[in-house]
Amino acid sequence: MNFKKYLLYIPLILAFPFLTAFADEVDCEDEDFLDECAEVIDGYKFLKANTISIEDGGEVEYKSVFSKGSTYMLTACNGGSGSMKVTLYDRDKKKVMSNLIQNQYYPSITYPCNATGVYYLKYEFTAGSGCGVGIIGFKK
Amino acid sequence: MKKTFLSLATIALLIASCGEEESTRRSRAQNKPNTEQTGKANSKETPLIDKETMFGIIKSIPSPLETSDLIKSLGIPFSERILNSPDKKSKYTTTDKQALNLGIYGADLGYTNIYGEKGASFTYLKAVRQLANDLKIGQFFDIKTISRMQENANNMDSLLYISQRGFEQMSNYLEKQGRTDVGAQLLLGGWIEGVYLATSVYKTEPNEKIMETIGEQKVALDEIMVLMDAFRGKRNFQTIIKGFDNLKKVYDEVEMKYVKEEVELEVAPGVFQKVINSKSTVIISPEQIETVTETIEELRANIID
Repeated sequence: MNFKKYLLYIPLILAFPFLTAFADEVDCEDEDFLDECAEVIDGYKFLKANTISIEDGGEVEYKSVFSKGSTYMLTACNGGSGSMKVTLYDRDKKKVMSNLIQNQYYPSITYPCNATGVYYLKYEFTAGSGCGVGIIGFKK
Repeated sequence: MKKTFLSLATIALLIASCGEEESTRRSRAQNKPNTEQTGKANSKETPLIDKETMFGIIKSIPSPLETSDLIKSLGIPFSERILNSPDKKSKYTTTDKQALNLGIYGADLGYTNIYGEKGASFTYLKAVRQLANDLKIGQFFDIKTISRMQENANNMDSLLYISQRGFEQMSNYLEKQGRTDVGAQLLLGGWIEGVYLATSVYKTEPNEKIMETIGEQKVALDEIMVLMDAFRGKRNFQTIIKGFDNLKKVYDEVEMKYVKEEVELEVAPGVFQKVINSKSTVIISPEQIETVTETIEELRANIID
């Protein structure tokens, strides 16, 4: 009788790893994911989206020409657990700002640009691997 | 019986760990192109720079949307006359013309979107879709969504977002497909149109901010020239490269000056941070503006006519 009771749990036990895998897996290249992430830039105009996929403490760097007179919103939106950090560097590769401020993560930061030039955006995860999207919005 | 349960749990855990290993492998494979974003892979198509570096440059160039937004913010009225007529779309029958004009129409679409010109926006969106279809990249402009939006009068922000997202997705798709020619031509067309809009407006409404914007294109042009160098050996790029070489000669004389200062910025709502911020100044003469205007007009005419 007891054995029969355990048998009822078998499908659940077997399905558990697959269920959790699906729950954690986010397709960061999916249009719906991008649309959800883009909601953060409310009030700004969508410029571009940097797709990020990082493993084991790696980092991804993109460059972008920013224009004087525009205020840029930089977002870090990721699927699953953990946090994605975005750091902005100027044309001399000197750090300007990041979304990790006094040990607190912000989903977006704003940069009022006073110097037209090439800027670098470095994306990384607090721990381990992950994927996400870094959206850049602007307003004049 | 407990032993049976434990055995089953062990099997389940083993399956779970196998799944995790598979997921990690998949993640590593997905990660590969990103480690190459710094530009280490080789491309058969272009010997000078690889495709990742090429698309890195393509993505770095500012969108013509920023220029359109600036024009509108200055109170300059909408002018359909300065845009490339969407009626010409069927004239563009070669891949090169289609890709370059897709970039031009994309910039024009952005301009009409910024001004909230609904009718014109949908006309340009249709032109964009046709050329994108011709290039087999039209799947990013869903006609059902567009038609649904056309019925709703208060959706210009959504239209702007969908248009921008479509171009972003096209660029990502072209990168994956290794279609560097089309990716580059799309960017060049868009950039040329952005500068053309600025110079056209400047001719009728001279304005210091527009003048600055024209001068500041020096930064984007320097990036574009790296891209141009990769295509120097390609016959279908010869006319456009010649035009860009002429433009570069003018911009070499344009001066950009930078100073750094520490400022306190509100980086997030209610969060202030001291950052080292730069200030730039551009020095461009009216004669240089005139030469840029003529060169851009010539470049654009070669594409749209």
